[in-house]
Amino acid sequence: MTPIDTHTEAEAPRELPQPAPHAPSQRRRRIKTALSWLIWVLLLTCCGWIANRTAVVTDITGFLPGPATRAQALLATQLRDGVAARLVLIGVQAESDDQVALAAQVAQRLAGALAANSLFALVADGSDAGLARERDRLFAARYLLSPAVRAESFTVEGLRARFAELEQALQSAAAPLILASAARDPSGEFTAVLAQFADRPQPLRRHGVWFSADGRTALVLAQTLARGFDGERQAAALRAIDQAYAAALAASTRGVSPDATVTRALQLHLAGPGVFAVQSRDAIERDAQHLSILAAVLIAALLLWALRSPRFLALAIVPVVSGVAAGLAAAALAFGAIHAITLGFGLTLIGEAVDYAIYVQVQRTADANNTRLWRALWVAVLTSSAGFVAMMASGFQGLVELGLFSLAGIVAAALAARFLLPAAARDLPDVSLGQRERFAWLQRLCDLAPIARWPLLAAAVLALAFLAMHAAPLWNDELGAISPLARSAGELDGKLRGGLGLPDLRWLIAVDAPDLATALIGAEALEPALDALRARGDLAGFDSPARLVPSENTQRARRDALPAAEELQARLAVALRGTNFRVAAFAPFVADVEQTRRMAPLDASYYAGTMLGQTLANQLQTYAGGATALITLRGVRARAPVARAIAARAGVTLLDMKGDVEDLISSYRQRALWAALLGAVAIVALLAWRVGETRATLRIAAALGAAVVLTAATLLATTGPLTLFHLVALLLVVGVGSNYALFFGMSVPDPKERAAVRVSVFLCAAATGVAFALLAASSTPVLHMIGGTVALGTFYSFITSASLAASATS
Amino acid sequence: MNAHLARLFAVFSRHRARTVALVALAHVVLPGAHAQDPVQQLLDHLGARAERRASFVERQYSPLLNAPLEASGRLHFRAPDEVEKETLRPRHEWLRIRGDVLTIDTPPVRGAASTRSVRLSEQPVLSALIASLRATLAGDRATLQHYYEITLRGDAATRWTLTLTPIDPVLQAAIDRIEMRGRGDQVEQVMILSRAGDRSELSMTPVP
Repeated sequence: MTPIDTHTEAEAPRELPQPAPHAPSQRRRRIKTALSWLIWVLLLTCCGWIANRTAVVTDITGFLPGPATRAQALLATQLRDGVAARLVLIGVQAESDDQVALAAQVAQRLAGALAANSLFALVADGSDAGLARERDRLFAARYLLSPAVRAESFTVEGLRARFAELEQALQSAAAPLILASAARDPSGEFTAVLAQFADRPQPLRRHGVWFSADGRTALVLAQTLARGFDGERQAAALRAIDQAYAAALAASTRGVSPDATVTRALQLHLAGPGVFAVQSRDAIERDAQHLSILAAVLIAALLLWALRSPRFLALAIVPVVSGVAAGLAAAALAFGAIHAITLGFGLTLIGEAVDYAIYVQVQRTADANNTRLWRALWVAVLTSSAGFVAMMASGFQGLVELGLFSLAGIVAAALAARFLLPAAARDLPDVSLGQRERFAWLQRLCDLAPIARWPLLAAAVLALAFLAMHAAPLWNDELGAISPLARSAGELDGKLRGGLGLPDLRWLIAVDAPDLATALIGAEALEPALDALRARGDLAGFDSPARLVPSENTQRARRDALPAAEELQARLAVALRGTNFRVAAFAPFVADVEQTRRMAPLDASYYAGTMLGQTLANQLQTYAGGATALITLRGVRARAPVARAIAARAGVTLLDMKGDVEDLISSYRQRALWAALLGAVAIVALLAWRVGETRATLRIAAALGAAVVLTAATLLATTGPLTLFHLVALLLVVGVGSNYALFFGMSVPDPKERAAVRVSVFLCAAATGVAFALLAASSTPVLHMIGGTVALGTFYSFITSASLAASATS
Repeated sequence: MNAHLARLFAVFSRHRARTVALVALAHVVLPGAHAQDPVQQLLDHLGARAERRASFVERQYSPLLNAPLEASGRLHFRAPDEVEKETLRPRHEWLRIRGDVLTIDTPPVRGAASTRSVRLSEQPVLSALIASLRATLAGDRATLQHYYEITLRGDAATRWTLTLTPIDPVLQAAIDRIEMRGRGDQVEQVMILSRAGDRSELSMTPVP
């Protein structure tokens, strides 16, 4: 409510001393002013109401590129809501080899505590008990799962051959391992079942639990009951893990060492979609709050120092508040929700909206109409808008929201500055006089700036050459580069995932069908083709859900191949006659076969509560009107052979999650590049129209071009290849810089006015620079990249504007 | 034995591992006790030989079989942790254990790959089985005690029988006990008795 208080405060002294003869026009003006403020309050309330009833979302998918294809879109929603998104990967890292056993013990205790916690659906740590559960399920179903089960295997000849193999095996070093199950499984069907998974990467095991490949980090896998993007419940699950870890650590180190060196030797690492959602939400919220407050404080301090007017500061809040409210309302109306990242980006509006207040206050002349000022202001708004419109044209959902927010924000801020501030600021002391002493250094610097003209141009040409001849690629279209997740989070995820032998989900074959049974038939039918690809080395391996859940027909066929108990017993007696084997000892074998004959075909629920069940839940997705079976591929050498092998099969799609997404990012970037070029042309055209003089336009264009080229070259040299976000930020640099170039480039004959222009541009650049530099401190990559680029660009723009764009007459 | 006694015995055996560890600790702390302990004496005696070569005959008894299956070949041990076992009859098979890695070369059985490597640290039962022979030959008491409770009949000077009983429940489910018989610093027979009633007897004759 400060702006309104300011309004009455500002208005009262102005109205009182007015002489009586002008009363009618005074009254009209007074009514007009009061009306504008009333409309403003109404609009502000309206915007505030809209923004207030809109939810703030932190779902990071909005700032990830959308799925490239329809199939991916389907998959993305399934993965987002599915089991994969509920995974928490827990690592207990030992600092030294001495602590590895302790890490294993802590991991085991932690897993035990989490397994007893109702927040988790499944906890696995690779302990013998957990693995034994999986082995038992596979063993019990071996006659349904083994591809070697055929009617021929159970004839007298078939049995005789199998027992001859068994005798050989019992004379090998593997004898103790084979003997353990030989009475139940003399034909080694279990070995045949396991052989199907032999190419699956096996996690390392130490001290009875899973370890990462380097043998230092004990691994636990937990699956939450809550959905991955259910922020509140995910956060509760993470707190439970932290508590369980602290308790496990305390229990494991009790009495071992009274000092804290042992506890410090272990580190807890958490990864997974839910973990990252919670972490990035916390980071974004922290950034949005802390950085906005800091930006407001710093900019307020700057303005107070420069203008020595608390009342001006109060007035400057008007366009800021208007801009933020309008931006939020626009985003809320357009998207139905406001993203937390947009809130964070909102702090840049403080830097920009304050510009309009500065222009109005500092450049306001005795001329009541201020025609030149208003025209310059509208050009400034239009050029900035061009930048944000181009940002929206990229089509990238997150950027569209940021662009719309900023566009609505600056238009509202400019309107507020134009229609509310002049009347309210009229009685403020004319600052342009008082400034001259304090900004003498700035004036001297600006007077000298044109000397730097040629060195700057030379630097710009060099920078251009650097960009053109840069050996490494100019653009980085990897998802990791623009993902809202911190890079370290991705690396940790990769390490833990790799350690657990979980597929990285880059290459997938999706088999779509009207129902799950049909999808499994499709997946099963692909196996010969995939086996052939593996034999040729075109892929290292694959995981098909049909291996764990063969199609019903296959299971029935295997079951039908099994002879009845009496028949099998009779054949066994004949087959073992004259051998070293005792027929009676193999009664468990006959019983198991008979039991399998009475089993119903198994489905995915058979594996519930095991790691295998977890894998299957990811691979088998049902939704309204259809089902998908996903086959994960490992070590794909090239796309073409795989694509050829599966071509012309109905409902079968090869997905390259990484490549397809990178293609998509690249297409966003190309669109953004075109939009940026068009935007730049539009900005220069606007300037040409405004300036109306070719030479001046060229000077301004040169200043802008030099600033952009220098910024891009600096970024490339310091941070490496540029991303989509850098590109749109460069366009914002053009939008911001054009204002400075325009004001510097204006021919202002009056030295007093010229000095005022310089001071105002300096203050605007400083405010914008502060806001974006703070944004660069954000840990959210999109904010960090845009902030850093624009802050750097503002700096360069100010220098090039002062030297290259400055009017020859000055 | 009445029920009370049985329960008492169960409680005792649960604490047996700790008791054994305490006894071991006493030996480290008290060097005087060390010299008089016959197990330590035997293990020191065995560990003194850095290299051994032997021919072996291995008999596999099982309730599944009418008569034991027999295999024979050569054994080679090099301190501290290298064991090579080459089976010559009935089929050639070559097995080497070095440190944590077991490598096995077999004629293909049921289409399985002929050369395989296994990390012992990932195979608790296998590493316990291997430790029984390897750690005994190396005189490595700490490793033996990690897996087994040790009892000795006889002593290093004459004939002896070293009985290893698994401590860990996972091992107990597979192995009932391992008996090693020998004379002086020679191990003559290793007998592994499984819970399922299988018995494997490895008899060794030293080869110069």
